[in-house]
Amino acid sequence: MNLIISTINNVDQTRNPSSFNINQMVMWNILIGLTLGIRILAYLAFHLISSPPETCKQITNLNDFYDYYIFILNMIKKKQLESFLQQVPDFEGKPNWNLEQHMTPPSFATEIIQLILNEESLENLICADFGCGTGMLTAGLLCCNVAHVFAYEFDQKVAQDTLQTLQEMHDGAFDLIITNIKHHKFPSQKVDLILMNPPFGTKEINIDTVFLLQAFQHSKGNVYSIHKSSTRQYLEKLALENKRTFKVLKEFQFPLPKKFMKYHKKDLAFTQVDFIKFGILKQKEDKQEI
Amino acid sequence: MRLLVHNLLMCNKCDKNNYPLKIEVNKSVIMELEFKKDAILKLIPKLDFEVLSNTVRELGFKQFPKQIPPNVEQDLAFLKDLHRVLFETHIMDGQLTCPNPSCKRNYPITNGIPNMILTEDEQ
Repeated sequence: MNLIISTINNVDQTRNPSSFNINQMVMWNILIGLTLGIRILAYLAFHLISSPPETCKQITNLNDFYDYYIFILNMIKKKQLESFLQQVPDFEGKPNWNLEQHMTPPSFATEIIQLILNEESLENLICADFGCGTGMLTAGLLCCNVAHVFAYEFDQKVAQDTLQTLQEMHDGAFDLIITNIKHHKFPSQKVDLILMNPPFGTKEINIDTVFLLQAFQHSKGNVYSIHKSSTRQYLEKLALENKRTFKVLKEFQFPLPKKFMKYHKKDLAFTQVDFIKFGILKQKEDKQEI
Repeated sequence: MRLLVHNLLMCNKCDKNNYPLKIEVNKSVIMELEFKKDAILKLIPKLDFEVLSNTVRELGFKQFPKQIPPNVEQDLAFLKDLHRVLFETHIMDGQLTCPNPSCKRNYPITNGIPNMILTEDEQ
């Protein structure tokens, strides 16, 4: 590459000689090329060594190369998704702390979407997002070829902003509905999947349970949700009562911004949070029928 | 708001006869979207088609079929109509009304978003 560029420069020089110092030009080309190359190599090597040790320790046959190729592809996809989600702006003005408005960080949203993709394919599903807020999770779902996303939000101004930003970012299939999840009546089982980041229930007690129960009723498929780790045992019981499976997919340190200073006296407080999958308890019945 | 959303909305105030909501359109917009045959075929069984076709014909598209045609997969003209009705037509301004004669609660649609929030005394 460097050679080609330098030869081109040579040709230019012979055709119309100018005062430009050609040696300097070549030097710069080589320098930039080297640094870039080293960076790319280091990046690849780092991910090769650090991330999935099984696939990358010994690349001996073609299958391993294929795995590696898929791994690189996934990594690129993840980066693309994250940079797409970074376009979602935070709440405009002062967030309403009665509603516990806090944005899901783009990096978390990316990881959450990846975790869901590991569990199931999202293609052509009808999804819903309760308490969509800035629309971060909705945007994440839209990237996965879903059929449609219904985003429910209580705050009217936030809903308008979210509709606008999402329309600018994506031409696709989503709709916003302003409603109060507490008394909203859902026709049962119309939606295939629900992904939500509900309020954690620090301001209004039990609001997270209300969201979950509504989600269980509305969805005929899996429900994915983010909850405080301290409520884990209670939620496990709740899931069993509603004939749902319970599986913690990942634990996060969720950053709550300074805006929530009333609760947290530190500059930036972290809360321990679980990302949970509430699946459907169906398999036993199926086996009996067979 | 798309008509797909109308397919999911009920009156939040009453328990019986609260579906489907009557729809009144003041302003609607058509925004073009890529036609995906597979996606729309998978969507059809999830729809309440009777409700959809009634509302579509009430809104003025009289030729829209009352039932799903037998050979849906080959019926490209129908699928394109359905695509236009479901995904490309946005109701920007209007009103939803509860069909229950004793309720008749109005839900406004402003800037393309329906507002289904009840006031405190209604809950």
